[in-house]
Amino acid sequence: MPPAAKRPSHPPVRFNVTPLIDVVFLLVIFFMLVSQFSSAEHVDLEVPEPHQSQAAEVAVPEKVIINIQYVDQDLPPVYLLGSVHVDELDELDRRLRHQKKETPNLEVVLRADKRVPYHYVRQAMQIIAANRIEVFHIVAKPQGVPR
Amino acid sequence: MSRAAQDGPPARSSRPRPGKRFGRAARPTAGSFMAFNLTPMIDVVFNLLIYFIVGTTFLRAEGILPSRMARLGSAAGAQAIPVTPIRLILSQVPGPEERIRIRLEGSAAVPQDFEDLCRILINLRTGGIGFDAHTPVVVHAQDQVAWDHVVNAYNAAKRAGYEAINFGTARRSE
Repeated sequence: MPPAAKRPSHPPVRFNVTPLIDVVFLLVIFFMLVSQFSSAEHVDLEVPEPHQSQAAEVAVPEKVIINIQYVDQDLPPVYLLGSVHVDELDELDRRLRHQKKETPNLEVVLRADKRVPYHYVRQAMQIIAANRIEVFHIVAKPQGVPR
Repeated sequence: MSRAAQDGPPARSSRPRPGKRFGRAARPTAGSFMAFNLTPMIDVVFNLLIYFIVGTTFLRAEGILPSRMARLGSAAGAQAIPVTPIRLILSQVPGPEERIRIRLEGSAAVPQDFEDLCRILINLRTGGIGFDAHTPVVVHAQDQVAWDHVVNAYNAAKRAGYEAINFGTARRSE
């Protein structure tokens, strides 16, 4: 009797999840990197570090961020409304007035470099007051954050 | 020739054999051994590592000190009894070091630092001399005083329990 022909063996079908997890994680990383653009209004600067800081991490719903940043220590600081560079204080005033018209309950978050002379911050405050924005928030390091 | 040889090889049955189900892993046979494939786990761990390294750069440890602009010329303000505010005056000490002088207008107390300022402000509030948590505190600072010092003064007043803290314009005495 001749030997029977060998059956073709079927490999077991299994669902390999690992590449799926790899791709998902890569997507997460991709979107986190992309989302950096949306947080670009938090420009890189050294915020004040008060002793026993009372600053709290609170979300402000309808806000606009005014950044006062030192690009070069030998030059005057620059003003940014969000991430948009503002050349003159008049322009800051104009843009703020426009935003206030669109959002009546607008609140301002003031992020200034800790080395900036008060004179520059006061000018920004005067513009905030002139636009009848009553609430503004000063950004500082909260307590317990290593210096 | 036998009958079996005439018919050729037996036709394949479409019915699965008992105990051999579709999609089931092969049973380990004698001589085979189980081994963990570490490569996918390392892949995932590296991805997690990258995720957390990238993620930590997004966390900005920043808080906010809420403030309110002083209302000027409002109807309520016109009716209110005038309250003498506590005025904190910050000025820069001339010299190579960036030292500042802290003063309280109308007070003999001279705070040495912001901790001291906080202590004096608490004493004013609790001393029964007419000041309370609702007494306005106005922070005045010289033009060249660094923003860090101004925020420190604001923070000291907040720590001392005052609720109405504002920023003032430059004063002639500064």
